Amino acid sequence: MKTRPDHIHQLMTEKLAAVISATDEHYLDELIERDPVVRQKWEALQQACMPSGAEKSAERLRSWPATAGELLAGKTVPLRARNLAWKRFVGAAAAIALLAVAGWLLFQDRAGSGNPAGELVSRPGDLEHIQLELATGKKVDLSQMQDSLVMDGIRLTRNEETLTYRPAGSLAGLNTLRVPAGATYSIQLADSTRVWLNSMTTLRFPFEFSGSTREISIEGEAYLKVAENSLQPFIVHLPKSDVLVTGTEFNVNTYQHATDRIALVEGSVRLTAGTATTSLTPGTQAVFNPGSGWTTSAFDPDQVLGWRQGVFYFYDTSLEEIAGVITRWFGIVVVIDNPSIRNRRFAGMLDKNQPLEVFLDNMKAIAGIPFYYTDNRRELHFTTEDGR
Amino acid sequence: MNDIDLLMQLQERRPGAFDRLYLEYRHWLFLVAVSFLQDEAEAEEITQEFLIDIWEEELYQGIVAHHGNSLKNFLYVSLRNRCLNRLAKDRTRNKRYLSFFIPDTHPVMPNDLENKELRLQLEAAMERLPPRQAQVFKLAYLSHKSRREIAREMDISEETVKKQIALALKTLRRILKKIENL
Repeated sequence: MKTRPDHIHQLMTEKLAAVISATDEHYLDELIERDPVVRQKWEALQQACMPSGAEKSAERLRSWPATAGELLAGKTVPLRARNLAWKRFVGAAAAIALLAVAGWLLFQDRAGSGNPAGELVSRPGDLEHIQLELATGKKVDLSQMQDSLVMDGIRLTRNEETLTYRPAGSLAGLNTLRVPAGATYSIQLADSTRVWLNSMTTLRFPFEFSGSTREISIEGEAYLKVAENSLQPFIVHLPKSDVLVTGTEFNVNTYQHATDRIALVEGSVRLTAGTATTSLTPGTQAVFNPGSGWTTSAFDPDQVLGWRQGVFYFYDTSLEEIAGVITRWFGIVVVIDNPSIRNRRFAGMLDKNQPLEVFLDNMKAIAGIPFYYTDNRRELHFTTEDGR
Repeated sequence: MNDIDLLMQLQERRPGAFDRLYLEYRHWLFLVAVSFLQDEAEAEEITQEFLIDIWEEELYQGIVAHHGNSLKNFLYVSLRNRCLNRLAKDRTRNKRYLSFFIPDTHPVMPNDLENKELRLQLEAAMERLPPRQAQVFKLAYLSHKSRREIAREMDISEETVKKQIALALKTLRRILKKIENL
């Protein structure tokens, strides 16, 4: 048999990765033992590919998609490209203050947590329209609102998807803006701070910031460009923690139930939750959980900020979390029939601008998670091939 | 499952087949790419891209499984070509991989088991091995299993597998010599 000039190289790489067949390995071992040229090549290759041993080399694979399905679903953005995207993003954001707040529960009905054997249901909630509730208790349906509206001395103006207002006279108290499943909305506050609200999000804010601080609270997910004003610090209250804006450019996110997540783009923020405090450096995020306190790590901007383009990028994300996103974005009930798949983890992308079925077909074909609808397509079920 | 079965399942696009390929060979392919490119991040990128293409473009459809190593040979050569193409685009790139190749001028002891004429006789000779040696040898030679896989399958140590293979080859050489002398 005619051998390729790199045949020995192939066998050596196979041996390094321990996929070489036992007979090939016997042959290669004999070569290495008897032929000094082969031995020298083998040592050079080991040194170049595995300078710190096989275990260290295999460790790098931990950051890879755990299964082929995740690889395909994720079309994994190569590491280098991701890093570049990050740098580009910071560059573009340099002039503005950014704050994204994501928060709160993915599942209003956490039937699953009490009953681990049962199905898990994610519900979109009853709210159907974007609603503004004034401090006085009056409610406005913003989905129906035309260009502008005057109410209790406030002129509300809607410019494309952004709400602005001009107070006439002082109106005290907190107003509540609620965005239902399937919708997004944005608002410009009195100090010119802008807040983009993701689906199923509640923002509480005053029409005017009259005190020594500017304070708002957010449940759900939001992205904020905070107007700079060092004389009047900006504070965002999250369900479990507070974000004190000391710099100008940052991004906060609290996704999971009982977990606040704050990611800093540039500048600085100080974070407090009870007596536990921490601060962040750009490119890192802090996660607060009542059980474990604050932990910080680097974050991927695609993953954290993708929702603003209607894209949810996920890596190492449980089906439970994905179901929550589907509920929020498409306004349907999602049921995970089988507890066995609830915590299976996936990587991929959910694009709101495409029919949900595109994503569901992928889940079925690639991840092996079939689906079906009930209740006149108002309820989506994830199941398993064998129904177990 | 050996590579011939795996290849067949891939070609039938059986679910799970690609997953098996991915988990079995991703580390190896990554190392192949590292050895050519000398850059882990780039190797990671090119390997994952290659793996995705294998499935999406059904690159494996053309492989003929005439040999237990056909799949591995195909994977190696395809990825090698991708790496070399990338290196060719940049003249300043380090061609260090060349130092891992055995120079053409250096003859290497051939692998008897790759000898085509020998193969037919080998099949017959295998039947004359002691049962344990025969079992180990067949798993290695016919199913192309690694030492570790055979050790696990037969519940013996890898060291034992290694020794049994060496013994089997010694016995086979003796048997084949006798056949030739006849």
